[in-house]
Amino acid sequence: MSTSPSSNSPLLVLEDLSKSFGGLRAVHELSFSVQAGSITSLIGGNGAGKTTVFNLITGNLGADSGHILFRGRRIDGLPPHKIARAGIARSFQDLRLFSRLSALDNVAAAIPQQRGESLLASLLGGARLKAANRENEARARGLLEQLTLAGHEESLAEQLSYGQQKLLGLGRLLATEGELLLLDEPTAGLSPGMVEDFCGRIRRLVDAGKTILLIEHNVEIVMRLSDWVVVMHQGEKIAEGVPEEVRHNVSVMHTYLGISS
Amino acid sequence: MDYVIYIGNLMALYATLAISLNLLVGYTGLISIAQAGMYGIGAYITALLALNFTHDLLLTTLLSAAGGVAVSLVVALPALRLRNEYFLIATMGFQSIIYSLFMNLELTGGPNGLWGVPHPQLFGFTFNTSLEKFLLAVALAVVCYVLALRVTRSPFGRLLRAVREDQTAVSSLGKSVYRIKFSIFIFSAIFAAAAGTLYTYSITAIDPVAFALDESIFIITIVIVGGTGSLNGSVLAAVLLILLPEAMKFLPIPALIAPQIRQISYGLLLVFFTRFRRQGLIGEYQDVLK
Repeated sequence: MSTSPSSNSPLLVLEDLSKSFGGLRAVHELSFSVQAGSITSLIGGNGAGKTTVFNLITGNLGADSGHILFRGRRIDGLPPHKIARAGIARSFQDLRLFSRLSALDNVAAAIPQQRGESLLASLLGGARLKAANRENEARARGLLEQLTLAGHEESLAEQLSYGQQKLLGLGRLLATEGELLLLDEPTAGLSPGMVEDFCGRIRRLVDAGKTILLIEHNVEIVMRLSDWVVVMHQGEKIAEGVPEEVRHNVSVMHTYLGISS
Repeated sequence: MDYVIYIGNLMALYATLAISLNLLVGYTGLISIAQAGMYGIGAYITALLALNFTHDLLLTTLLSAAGGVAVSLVVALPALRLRNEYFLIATMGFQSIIYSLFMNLELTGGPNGLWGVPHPQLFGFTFNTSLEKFLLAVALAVVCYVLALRVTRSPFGRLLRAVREDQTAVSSLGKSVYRIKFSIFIFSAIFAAAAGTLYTYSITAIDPVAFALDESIFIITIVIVGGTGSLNGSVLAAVLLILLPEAMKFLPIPALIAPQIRQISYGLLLVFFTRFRRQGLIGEYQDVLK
């Protein structure tokens, strides 16, 4: 199952990435890469800098130094929407759904390059626009169905249960057709049954050709799902490897798994 | 009779102003206090053209709209990079600048404004009665309503509402928030400026006070009372809030303080609706202004 990061040309490469907030070194000279078709997990305690890494990759934060390459091309410095268009989609820890939009609209909004997305095209209207809109709506409905949200199309996102909101967030992410999916704690706050459901979905996404970079607190899930694990502590990478290796790494046990001698 | 038609004319113009502003405030979450400024740009361009060059209705409307676009570019380029309350303050600043220009430029006639604007012509027909001008204002309001409806029901409209809900999430989906805001800001300015054109032709004399900050606040009051995110609400509230001061003329209020009473009653309405009925008269959303 495990792939070493040097076997192929990686999909995403982080090189000596650093980011400070005032005096706080949130991320320090971090380098790692993500192989296409793999699940890579980023683990570490609270404040280790995991979400900052996501924000650097997606362009929500600018790095102080270092490079980010996606499919071999520099993406650091690009605005978030261009990075997303290049094929990197993310979920947010706090979901950031469009609360007062319907579930259907939440997913439909994410479909890339829609004809009716420009003001001019929507003013002009026409049969082709209508056909394109119908097609996109059908796609959004299909995604909602896959996520067991059929029947909730017209519910506002804020009216859904937390578990349903998490599924909706995943639906919106998938609608972007991004190749690399950054998932920020996808199973946090879910019931054990739903955690299993999510793990299955994440596996199937990889089988369908997606690549996943995961932030996850649940160690069991990380060990079970990941092909590669990167361990962060206070903004630095302190270990990386296949799950079994990392599990036996002493410093990991100290800093993350909480097993102190 | 002319008086009634004049009131109807104002209702139609303010419906246009409120619908176009609602696209910003209610749908996109852009609280702009510059709508009266855009309205004034259209009004002044029309007056200047009609007095000096042409009173062709189509030409003056198009050139006024172009002026509205030009000014909104100047406003939008810096202001749309700002978020929420900073955007509001920036538009308020532009509103003040535009008003000061009207008030102080020789070209715009200073505080006295411009008067004696000829009746508009279209394909040899002259609109010289107030009824004809009223029908023009209604036509503009209908066009504005229909196009706004089309926009809000399109995928673009969905993105407007998504921007209102969460800009960071919108950009994470590969959509340019700036482009979305920019497009709707320009669209809104075009209709505000066109309303200005018809206003100038309706009353044939304009002065800066009609386009002051108070007016911008009045237009936003219509949007809030009608309901942010409700086009029908904007139309309804435009009708009611234009009627309100007219109705108050039948009350025994001394003429000297009537304008103040009018301002106070609008202020009270604004406070009441933001505090107790955020969805407005028939609006869908409750906390756009949170």
